[in-house]
Amino acid sequence: MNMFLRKLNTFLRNSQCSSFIKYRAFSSKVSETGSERDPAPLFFNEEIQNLLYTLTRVDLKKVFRPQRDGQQMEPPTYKFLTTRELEKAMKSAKRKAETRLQMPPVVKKRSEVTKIISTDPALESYDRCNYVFTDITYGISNYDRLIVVREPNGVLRHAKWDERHCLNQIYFPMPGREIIAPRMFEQEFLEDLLNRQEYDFVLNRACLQFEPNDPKYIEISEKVYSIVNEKQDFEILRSTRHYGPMLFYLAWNKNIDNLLLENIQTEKIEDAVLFTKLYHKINPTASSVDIAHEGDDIQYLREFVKSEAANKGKLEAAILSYKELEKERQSVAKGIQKAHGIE
Amino acid sequence: MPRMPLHPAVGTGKINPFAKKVIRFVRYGCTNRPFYHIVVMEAYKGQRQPPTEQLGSYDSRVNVHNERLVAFNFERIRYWLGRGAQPTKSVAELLGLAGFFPIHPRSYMTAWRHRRLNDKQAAQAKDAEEESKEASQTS
Amino acid sequence: MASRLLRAFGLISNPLKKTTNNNNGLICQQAGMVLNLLTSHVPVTNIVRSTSFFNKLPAESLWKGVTSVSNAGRKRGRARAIGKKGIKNLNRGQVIGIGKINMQWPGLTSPILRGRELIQQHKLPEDPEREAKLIQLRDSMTGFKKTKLSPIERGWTGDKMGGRSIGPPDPIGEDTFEGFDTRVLEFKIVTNMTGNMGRKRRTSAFVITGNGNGLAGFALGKALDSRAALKTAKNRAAQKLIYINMYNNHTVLHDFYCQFGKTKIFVTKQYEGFGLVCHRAIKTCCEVIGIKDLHAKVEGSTNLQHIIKAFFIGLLQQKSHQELAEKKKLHLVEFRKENDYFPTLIASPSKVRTENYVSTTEIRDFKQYVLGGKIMLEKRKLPPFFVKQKSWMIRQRKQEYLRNQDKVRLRMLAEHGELRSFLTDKYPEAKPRLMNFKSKRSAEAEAE
Repeated sequence: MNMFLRKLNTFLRNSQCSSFIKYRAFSSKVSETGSERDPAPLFFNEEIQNLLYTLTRVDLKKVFRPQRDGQQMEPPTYKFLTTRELEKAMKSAKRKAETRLQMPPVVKKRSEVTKIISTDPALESYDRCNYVFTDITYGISNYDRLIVVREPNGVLRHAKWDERHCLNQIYFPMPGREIIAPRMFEQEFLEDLLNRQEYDFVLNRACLQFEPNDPKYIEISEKVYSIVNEKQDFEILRSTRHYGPMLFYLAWNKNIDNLLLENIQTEKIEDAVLFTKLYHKINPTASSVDIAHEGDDIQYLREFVKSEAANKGKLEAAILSYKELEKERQSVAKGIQKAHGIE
Repeated sequence: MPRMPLHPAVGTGKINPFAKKVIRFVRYGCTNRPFYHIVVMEAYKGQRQPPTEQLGSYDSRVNVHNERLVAFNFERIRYWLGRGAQPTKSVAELLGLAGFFPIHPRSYMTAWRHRRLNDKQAAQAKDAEEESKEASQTS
Repeated sequence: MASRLLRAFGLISNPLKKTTNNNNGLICQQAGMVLNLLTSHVPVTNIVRSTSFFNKLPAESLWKGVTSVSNAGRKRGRARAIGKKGIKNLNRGQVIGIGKINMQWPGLTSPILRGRELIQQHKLPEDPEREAKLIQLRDSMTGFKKTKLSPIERGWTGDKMGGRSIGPPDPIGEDTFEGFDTRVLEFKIVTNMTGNMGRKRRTSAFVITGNGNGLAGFALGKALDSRAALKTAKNRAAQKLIYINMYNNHTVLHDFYCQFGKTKIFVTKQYEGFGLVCHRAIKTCCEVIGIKDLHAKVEGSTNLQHIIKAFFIGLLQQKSHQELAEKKKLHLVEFRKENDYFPTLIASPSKVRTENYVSTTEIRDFKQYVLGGKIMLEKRKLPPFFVKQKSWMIRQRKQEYLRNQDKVRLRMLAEHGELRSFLTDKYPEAKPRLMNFKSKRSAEAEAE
């Protein structure tokens, strides 16, 4: 027997194993069903990524705000720096901010793994329970790891997503992630958290707990985004890593009224125009694509609102009031200049 | 008592290159709660001795989801098989179930015995049912 | 037998001695010796002295003997015991014939005749205040009575004055010290030898007063009387108020090193919520000044007055961030862990030096700069002695099984709301249980 195994081993090494370890190729094949539009290629588009990052409006103070992560505090440290060293430090902080603001990917929901490796009826009722085999070879990512299940009826299949989550967490625990999802993601507790405007906390925890293509993650994040949109709490998410995916979600679902309204009311006209560009990139078939932008942002926005917004009256009123305010400001500035005798 | 300190999974670094190696279970865990390490070690050594290297683990106790959990470091197992290490029957059986080895004959035998037992029990249950039916009819 | 005979003779030879058992004595006299020999050997006589300690001396001197100590004893320190035990003269205030039940005894508590009327012995209405009056009289007898202080009012230790609060300084004219609090730092008796009086004792009080908002002053007061010493010290401290700068109203501006005589102090700035980790006198100072977070280590002499003086010198020698930046002609940048070490510019000088003008030999490190090149001695924490013992290894091995028990328990409670697992249905007899005897007992009581 052992002689046979030894001979077999060389055979296995050459033939089976290369296809054995690579799991990603297999899993991506499974997830393609083609019924829904896949947001991933659009989201990872470089132009869209740049637009989303610009719209995030990085505020370093907010990015590096004190985090409530339960870590032991330390006394502050001080340094004497020359101007050049200070600039260097600020530059590295900006780079750090970029990594901190890396957006969680927006991808399609994954579909369940159904692939069977082999069926051996002669092994039926070998045992009453499943045997789960995990490859703990060093240096394989959780996504690529090979996990197979031998069922009591003799079928050898790839593990389902839930099983993969469990086993990856058992053998390669990720700090902060739990095997059973925390109860804060249950309806009643989530509702409470959202009422307290803890959007950032919920989204961060969801990022940690679930994979981005997990249906649960998509459900929770979309719920948070929709509530933020409803309550117009964009300022809370701005300058966090979730602002980009939220904009993407709003443009994807053509739910743009509240965001535009907020932008105009808080006089972020540039942001509003950039957002319309993002909208056109995501929805190239929209009717407003043809509207030409001829220097005047307000005029352009007015036309865009006319063709795209669901609640046109409100938005147009906001644009008008903004215009009037601007006019008044100009007249006041003129008056001041006159008073100072500058003219 | 647990072995303390635990031997590192990468091995103790003490390898006898001429001794015969086996891939085998080593029982850890405590009373009434077995837990096995799958290790490669010299064949002549007792299971309490420090192993050459740990290659995986086996939790024989069924968990909540009705599973027995087995972990293999296939890369190192291939290496040690190449170096002439021989798995014990029970390890070979698990490797067979994992699809790494051909199914071990003993697995087929066990499966067959279980099926036979199940059939027997099913037949007995059927007979008992019929008897009870007849009894109810006659009464 | 001989001894018995002897005893019998003794009985006869001392007929004058009083016999307690009269009956027995009568038998003796009537029946004579023979009968007496036959009686039981119960002691029949009891020697009674009619004069004793108690009836020789009057009550007053008896009570004095118990409640007071002779002069010689006082010198040897026996008077302390009297005060501690609280021995009181219970006879004071008590009059013969007057008691709880208010009886009138003619001839004892009242005259026999009132006019021509003969007073009968009778009961008067009870005096309800008699008992209270007696207790009050007894309480007044003890000279010094210790009042129990609440833990907040208590000082650093026991009933000592150190660390205790003695209220705000006395107002000067119309200026009152509102919001001020004075704490005693040192309170001791000092002596000096004089030519004609010999050893002269005085009380010395070292106090600090402050408003908890940056204003504080300390002073030393000496007087013959302890109260006077405290008062002078307190009022003198109020005259020497100093304003101390703080960082965000909670800690010092920066780390510093300070020295007075042989006392050296290393003070470290700390984050909010750290607390005061330092010598108790420095802690009291900080509380009075209003510093909430700070770490200080005293090296060298721990003379209390020197510690306070060194600490105040250090506080006063602090420089603002702007001053530091100006002196160094470099930007001062803060890095905080909670902000993920984001560089926050705190102060910039009017003119910044470039790299070329920064000498390689000058101290660039901020901490080293503010400590004046001194380094605090941080002692290495040694492992406790028992980790070398074999029993510790055995214990560790036994505890190894329990290493995750608390976490498992928490998980069970989170998942099922009680201590149970998925195996409990299958093996109910092995239900996990807390080894809590109290709860077990209460459960039994409930079952009953």
